[in-house]
Amino acid sequence: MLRRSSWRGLILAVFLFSVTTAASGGHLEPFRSVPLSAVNNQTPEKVELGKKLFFDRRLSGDGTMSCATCHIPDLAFTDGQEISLSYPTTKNWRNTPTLINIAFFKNLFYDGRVTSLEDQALFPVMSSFEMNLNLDYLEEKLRVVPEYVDAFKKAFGGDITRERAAMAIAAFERTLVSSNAPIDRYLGGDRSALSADAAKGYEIFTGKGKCTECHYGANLSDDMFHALNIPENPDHQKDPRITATRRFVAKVYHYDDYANLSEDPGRYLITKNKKDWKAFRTPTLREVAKTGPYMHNGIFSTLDEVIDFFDRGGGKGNAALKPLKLGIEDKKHLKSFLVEALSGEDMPLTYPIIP
Amino acid sequence: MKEYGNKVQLVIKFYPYKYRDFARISAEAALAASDQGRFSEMHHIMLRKSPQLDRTSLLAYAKEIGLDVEKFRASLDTKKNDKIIERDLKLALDLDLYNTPTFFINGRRIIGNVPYEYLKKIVVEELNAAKK
Amino acid sequence: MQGTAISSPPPLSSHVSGIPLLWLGGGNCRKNILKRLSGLVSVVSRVYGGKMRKLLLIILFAGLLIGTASAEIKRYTIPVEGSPSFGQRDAPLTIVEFIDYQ
Repeated sequence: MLRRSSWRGLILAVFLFSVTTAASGGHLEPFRSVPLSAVNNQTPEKVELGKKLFFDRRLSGDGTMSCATCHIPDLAFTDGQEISLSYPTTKNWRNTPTLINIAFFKNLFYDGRVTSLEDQALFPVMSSFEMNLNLDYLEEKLRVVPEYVDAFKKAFGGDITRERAAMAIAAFERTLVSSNAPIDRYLGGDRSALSADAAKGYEIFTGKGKCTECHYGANLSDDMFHALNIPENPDHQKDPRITATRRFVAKVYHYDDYANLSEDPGRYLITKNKKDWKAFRTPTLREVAKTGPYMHNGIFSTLDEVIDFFDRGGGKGNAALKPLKLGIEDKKHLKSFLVEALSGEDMPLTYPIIP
Repeated sequence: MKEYGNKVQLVIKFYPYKYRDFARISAEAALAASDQGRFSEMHHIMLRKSPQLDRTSLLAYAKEIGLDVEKFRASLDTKKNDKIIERDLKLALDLDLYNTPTFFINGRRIIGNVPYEYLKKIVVEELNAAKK
Repeated sequence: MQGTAISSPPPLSSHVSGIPLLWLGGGNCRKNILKRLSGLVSVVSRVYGGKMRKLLLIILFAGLLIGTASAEIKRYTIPVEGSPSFGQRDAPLTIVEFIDYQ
């Protein structure tokens, strides 16, 4: 039986170990398999149906947009814009996040407002500045299409509902993965998988770059929120349409001073916790070469700018980062790693025939 | 076109969405005007007046730009250029297109109603590459 | 489920033109190219000696990098005959727009 002082010591040791482990992040892991849902079992029928819905412009109010309008397969399911493409006459206020490896995340959207793909799928459909379709109307639009009636019966054994539409889209999204990237082979023991330049970049990524404090695991993300004080884009702050969207979202999330909001509060809107002011979820770095512009507002066009941002110690006044003091060669190697190591094999995708 | 003049050729392919009521007939209108050598005027007036692209409006636009309205009407009613639209639709499906507009800039695909600056950046890249 | 979407590989609905195809053929294509290049390097080394081999390696490496960078862009060949257009047919840049007026 341990003495009280020994118990105290043990508890202190465990606490200190946890804190230091949390602070130091984790390590990279090769891709092995995709996390699946316990409540929405993955079937080929659901995936096919979800794929049709994903590409179907019927899911927008005026028929101009589908999920694939902003999540373009060629661009690792982003759209290459600073700010996401939007419903006609409106403007989104954030950058399109990639859907690559989205199955790995529990926290979805930049602010983590939902925690399952099923909950996430219909948000953009009903969003006024995205696809802008009333969900009651969505159900009726789909019910008059015999192919969809049939497909929902095959996938779910029953009628078309918005919940089932969301489940189908989520099932399809779970198939969007980056695999067999050079980093996976490298971590699996194939030392020739990375060029010498990229291998040096790996050392920096896992060493003095401190990237693995937040970008670790198979998905290169801790799925947590950090306030890096990413600079606002003055053009976005002045843009009346983006301003309208920012204030609309803040109003919806009961932010008192929504009418004067001139910057993106990040996760704070969801939690109202001060520590979450301007905190955004760590993105995956898989396929990062294709997912620019970068950050929640697309402020950085190139990976060089991103690396410089982190080298500087992040945005003014942030408490999360410190300057890294990387040399020019370090940055070059790091960029090579990001571009070369994290780009997986082309994902086979047969485009659906929309009914 | 205004900015790059003789360095750019813009080719129009028709990809009317089957669930937009006037998408098909406006494609017919564009080709009917093209038969009379007035594609550019009809193209621009339809872009300005969209979504007012019902048959009556299209006939009014034809009159406005000085087309032979009877010929234009006959072309719409007989679906004279149907084959061209079907050809373009088939091409779009073969290319797995799912959105309009979709651009191919020297073969590079750009999907969606992207900002002009984004298109311009690619145009400049391609023009520079073409010089080499 | 490891690594791939639950669907068969897409039919070739596009073909590529106009750019170095060095990396586009996938793993086997790259292996064949590298095999041939290493053969070329051996021949040069035997005939011209070590310094030329070094120079050739540098040139080839630079070429591969450039090839990689430009081969990332997928290009499609779109037939344009019989479609209305603006501008000159022989312009250095062709933009094909698939349009829906509504």
